[in-house]
Amino acid sequence: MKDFDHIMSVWQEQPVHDKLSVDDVLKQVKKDVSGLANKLRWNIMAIISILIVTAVVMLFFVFTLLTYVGILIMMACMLSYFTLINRHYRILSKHDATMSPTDYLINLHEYQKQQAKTVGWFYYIYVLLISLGLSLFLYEVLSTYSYYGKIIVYTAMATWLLFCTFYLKRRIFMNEQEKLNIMIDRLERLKSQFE
Amino acid sequence: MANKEVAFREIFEANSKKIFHLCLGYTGDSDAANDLLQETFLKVWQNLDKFRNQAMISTWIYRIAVNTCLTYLRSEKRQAKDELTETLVETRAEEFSEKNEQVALLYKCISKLEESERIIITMVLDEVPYPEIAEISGISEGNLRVKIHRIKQKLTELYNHNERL
Repeated sequence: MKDFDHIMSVWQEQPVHDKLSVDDVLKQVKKDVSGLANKLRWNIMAIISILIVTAVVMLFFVFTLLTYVGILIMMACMLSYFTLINRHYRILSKHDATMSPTDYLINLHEYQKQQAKTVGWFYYIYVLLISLGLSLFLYEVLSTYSYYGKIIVYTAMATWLLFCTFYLKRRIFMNEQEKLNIMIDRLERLKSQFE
Repeated sequence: MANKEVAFREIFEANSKKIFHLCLGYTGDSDAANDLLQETFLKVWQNLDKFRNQAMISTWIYRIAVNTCLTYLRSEKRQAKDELTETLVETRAEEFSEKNEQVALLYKCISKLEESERIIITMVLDEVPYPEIAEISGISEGNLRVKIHRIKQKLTELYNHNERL
């Protein structure tokens, strides 16, 4: 029958593990920090590019009011998507990892719950608005197309959106949602352990 | 930047061994422990400017490490690997000395504890003073002493039980 002192001696005499060297960690830390900054930079550049392209299209091509409305709706969709992503990174990076575990878990739990809700309804609004924007945009663009041409384009568009909603969303989006739910359950369980 | 790098190196050299133990005790897997160690020190680097000496640096780093461990989710790849870990631990234990066998058994027993218990007992085993553990975990010292007493009993029972097996 071994006592706790024996366990303590086993722990203290354990062989030294092959842990990372400070140079490797420092290299990785710098890489990760610049990787995050690059991601943010690319997102901002993407938003600016979309704005410039849209402004050029709207200034140099004359469309009907419906087409302008369509372009604006699509632009608003893309902007809100990028805003949501950037907000997500910003909030996550602002979570103070130095607070007590209970406060940290409560904060993260609240955020993840809110995120799960936001991500859920955001997708449907996004698909709805992007479909509306595309339909309005294509109304004028396809005006010279034959009847069958219009049917083919609209069918392809509808098929793509349905494919995204019922197949891709399940594969990619639901996977993320599942991870979020696992995290929420876990945080709920952990919170009680530190009380 | 150069000063920050010097400070980071000093902090890493002084604390990484104990932080690695904490991560290894929590995950029971050295690759995952290395991932967590790296993530912890990424956060240390990002927050180093905010450290104002209001606490001991080791307490501050431990808190980051504990929070990082708690929000760690095993990837599917890692989970598949973890299923093999038990077999690997047993095989390795046969290959090496009795001491290594005891260490493997101890880690196996720690992995059977609850998450918070794993974190607390790892710090106890690394002889972190109780007031510091209380500050890191945000649990009052009185409450913590009771918890530690229970965890010690639980771990000793698990160890003896598994050793007999």
